Amino acid sequence: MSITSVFSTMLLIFTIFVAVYMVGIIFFYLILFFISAVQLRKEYKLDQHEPYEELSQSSFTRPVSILVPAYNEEAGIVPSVRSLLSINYPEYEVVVINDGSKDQTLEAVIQAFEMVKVEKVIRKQIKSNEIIRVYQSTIYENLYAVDKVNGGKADALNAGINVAHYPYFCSLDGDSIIERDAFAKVMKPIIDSKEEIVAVGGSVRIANGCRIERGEVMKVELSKRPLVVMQVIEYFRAFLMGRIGLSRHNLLLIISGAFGVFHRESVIKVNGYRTDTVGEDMDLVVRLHKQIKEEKSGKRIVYVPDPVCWTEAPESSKILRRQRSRWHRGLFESLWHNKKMLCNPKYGLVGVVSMPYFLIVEFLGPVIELLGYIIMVLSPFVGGIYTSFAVLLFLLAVIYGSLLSMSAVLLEEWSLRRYSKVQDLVRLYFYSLSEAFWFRPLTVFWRVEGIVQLIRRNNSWGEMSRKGVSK
Amino acid sequence: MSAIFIIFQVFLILFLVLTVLFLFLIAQKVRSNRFDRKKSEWKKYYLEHITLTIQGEKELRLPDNHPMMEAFEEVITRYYSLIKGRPSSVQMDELVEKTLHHHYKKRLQHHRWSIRMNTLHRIEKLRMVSLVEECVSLLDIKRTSELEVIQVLRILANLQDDRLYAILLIEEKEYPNFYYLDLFRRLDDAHLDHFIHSISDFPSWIQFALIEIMGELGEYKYLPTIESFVTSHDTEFRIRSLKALVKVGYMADVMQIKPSLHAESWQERMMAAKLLKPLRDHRFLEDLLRLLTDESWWVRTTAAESLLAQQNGRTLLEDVAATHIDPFARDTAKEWLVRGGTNRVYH
Repeated sequence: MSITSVFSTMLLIFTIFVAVYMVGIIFFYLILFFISAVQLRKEYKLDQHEPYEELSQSSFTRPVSILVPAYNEEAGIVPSVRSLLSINYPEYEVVVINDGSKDQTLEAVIQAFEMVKVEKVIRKQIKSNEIIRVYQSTIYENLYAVDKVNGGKADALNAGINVAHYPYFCSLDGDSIIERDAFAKVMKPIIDSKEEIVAVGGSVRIANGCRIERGEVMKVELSKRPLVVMQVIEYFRAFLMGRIGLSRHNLLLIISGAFGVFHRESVIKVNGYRTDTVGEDMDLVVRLHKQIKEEKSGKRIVYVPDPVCWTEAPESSKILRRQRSRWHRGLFESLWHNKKMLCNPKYGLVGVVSMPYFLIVEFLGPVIELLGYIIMVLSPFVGGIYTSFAVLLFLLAVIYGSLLSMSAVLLEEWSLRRYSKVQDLVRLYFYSLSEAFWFRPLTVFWRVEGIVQLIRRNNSWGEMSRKGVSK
Repeated sequence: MSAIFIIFQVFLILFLVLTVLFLFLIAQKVRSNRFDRKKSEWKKYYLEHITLTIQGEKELRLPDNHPMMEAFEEVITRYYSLIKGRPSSVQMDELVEKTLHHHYKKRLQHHRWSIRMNTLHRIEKLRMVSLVEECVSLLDIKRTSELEVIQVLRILANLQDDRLYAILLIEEKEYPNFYYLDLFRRLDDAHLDHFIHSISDFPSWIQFALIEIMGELGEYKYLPTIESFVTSHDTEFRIRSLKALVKVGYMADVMQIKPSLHAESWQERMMAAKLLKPLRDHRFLEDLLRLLTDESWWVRTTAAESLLAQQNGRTLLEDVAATHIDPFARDTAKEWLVRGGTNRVYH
């Protein structure tokens, strides 16, 4: 067999492989799309306030501890805390955790809210770095600040869980903006389910371009920057199509670090957040699932489609690139630490559907897609039938990259309709049409880059798992 | 080759469908934006004129199209939100009945869940007595969801309608506890008493809610009923009644809780220990000291907190911290001596 014929056979095999993969994924997403569409449409134009009014005033709701980890956030921390103190919820406390900041974060909070030291014996239920001191505000009884030795976000959250008093806690990014009804909205499923829910994820939206006043989103508008618009579309796709569909069957594996409410005891049972990973939020959800299945408690993890939290998206490709490759490493670590669950029927649908989905589609998907791009570029040079292969893959990539995103945009418009300008809808539609031609390939490269970084750091990986065993 | 052709066709069809949908949604958006503009103009009109109308000084233009209707609804809902709890004026109620009765009657039958749900919320807020029959009849329809049923029950509770009693008595489905509490909280004294007198006729989950609401209200007349559950055979009932007694902070026959202090479930032991804090009864000092060595952290810490509240409690606790043989008891005692009894323990 000549080299050329080996090459063309290989090309053929790869093409078929990539094509079959793509068709499978497209079908998977279409199914999720229909599940979401039915769900969203049922709640079309449901009053945004009325169903939650009772909940946000009643004394029978479950109280929540809001944990705000802060590291060098001197500039933004005071306004964020202030906006948290004005939320619509009957009983809650705010715990700011100063994770050994090098700037004046702690001092800023202490001064703004006239805080004093309190004697407090902390019951250390989860391991975390040493807590130096606890402060309480003299103006707001429900505001605490914890000063601790630096240990990263996950460690700060663990310390916060130890300090928290209430049965549910919410983890929050310091820079995200919370809607005033957010807690009523995320706690409603917990109450409606007779507290059979251990975690609720909220829908996170992109704040860039919106008009924000005093920590509140006043008007929703689309940013002028193409990169941000593409991220808005990506969020639609991930949240509206992916998460609603997965949540419906208790398959949800990701609750965004930007906003999630958890049952405190359940989180303590799984030893809190893992501190040696960049994907601590996903890792926690996966372990909660594991716990649910092992205990056979039948509890659930759900997702609320109403946007409850707004966050700032990166505007430059440099930061976006870093974020994407970090996310990808985090994804791998969560899968790696919980590999026992993969394809294990003991863990139900989470084991046989969610975990393989995240491994094959989310983690390895970019590699397969990259392979597709390479074939697309190479095939025409071989000529003949191989040119049509390139066309085939190209069409699939456009369906996968652009048409699915366009559907997500239309689904948003058909159900939630958060963008009021006609012009915004037109822009979203045409930008999503362009996705397969530039943004999708870009993110594919960045994510593959994440995999490359993982392989390069292979040695340090080994060290880390050894450390885990010796403990 | 045929594969490419099929994919191409799929692509083309999808693309066309999406574009048609897109154009349709654009048209809809243009229309709905125009609708919103009109609505906000009408809202301004109603905000300005509605008070004058109520005072009889001006004739109000009643809604005769959709934007007007929605504007009217929103303004009037806001008004009722603001006067929450207080009686509304007769003129206002008449105005509401006149304009919205038929509109809502139709909407209660709408095929879309969210519209029926919104309507039920509005009927509740606007206290539209005339529509109660229609709401109750929803209960017999199969498609009616759990949340709709709860909303109908709320409307009945607000109106002190006796059917609430009859419905809950035969309902076999268990709703979340929160909603029962919410319903009972809306009832006046006479109606709630009706429930409490026949508490044992209800399924356990409703009994739990009634015990909790009695504790919440904290009235002495409920004490005998709550206390009767302290000696129940069912652990859950004992825990609930102890919890209610903690809220009341008092009980007539204190000795009844003695067995609970040594019960099997740690929640029961904890609740009993917690109740000893307000009771301050010297006959239980021994029990509290023993609970300081309990296997559960919650029981130990609650016992220490209650002990600290007793006469002589601090001295006893200092003694435990210094000399007790059990290290857990010593730690718990030390912890509470530091806290000084100022910080309460949350559950």
